[in-house]
Amino acid sequence: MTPDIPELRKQVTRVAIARYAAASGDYNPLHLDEEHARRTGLPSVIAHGLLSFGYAGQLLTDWCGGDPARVRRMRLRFLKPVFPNDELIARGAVTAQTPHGLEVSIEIVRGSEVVAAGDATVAPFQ
Amino acid sequence: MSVVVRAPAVAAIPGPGDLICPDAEFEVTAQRIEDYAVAIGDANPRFRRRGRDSSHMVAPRAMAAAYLQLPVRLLLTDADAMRRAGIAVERILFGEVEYQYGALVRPGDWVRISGRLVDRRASGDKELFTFGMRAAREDGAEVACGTITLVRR
Repeated sequence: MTPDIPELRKQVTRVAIARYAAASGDYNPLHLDEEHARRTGLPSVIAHGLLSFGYAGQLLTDWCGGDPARVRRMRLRFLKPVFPNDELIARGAVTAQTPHGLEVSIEIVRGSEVVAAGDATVAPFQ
Repeated sequence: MSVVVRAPAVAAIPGPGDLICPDAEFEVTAQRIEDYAVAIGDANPRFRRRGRDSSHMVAPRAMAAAYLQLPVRLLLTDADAMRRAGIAVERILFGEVEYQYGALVRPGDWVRISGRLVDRRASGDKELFTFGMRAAREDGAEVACGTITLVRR
């Protein structure tokens, strides 16, 4: 029996963005420099898209009992910018079972708005 | 972040396959895994040291995104190559990533990452750049491969 995928809730903070910049080495000023972000037409700095990718990875790994080896493929498209203080929910649903594993759809949402979406392949539950 | 440029930034012609990223190397350490997990807010004990012990640790799958982007970032910082390719770096953002995963990586592993532009196309008033990427451990085991698509706003 394949269990449902529990939602994952995340609060995006400036501290989280700064920590992700340090952890990834991506110091693009769009993520860190308020004035630079405004000069390029954004209302404020934005979170790294790959921060949402990290949330998607945690969503799947938690579902897999904490075993990252069971996550075999991930794809995520970044649809909307994510800003400091946004509250995000990562959620997923099994869409198919194939010989390669379980196919899962993934969404990262802010309220009713989908900010990132994609899919993944995960090893089946025993 | 220890990034080792293994080859000069080439990139003279702005077409798919002609824009080759400098190779990079990334050392996986317990500190880096923890820093990544803290940034994500992931309390998985496999991503955290137990006291001074890191023998149980592995890197989160999504952490591959952090080091797979390194060659692309190195390329984007080559102002001359970007000017010749007509890419306005200051308006570049991630549009999509897709990775297939192989071997896990642990503290002490070194990962070698390579990549090249495989597609460049317009989409409305935007431009999309897709890079094919590959990361492998020193023993040759493939860690991850896939694509990074950047968007020029």
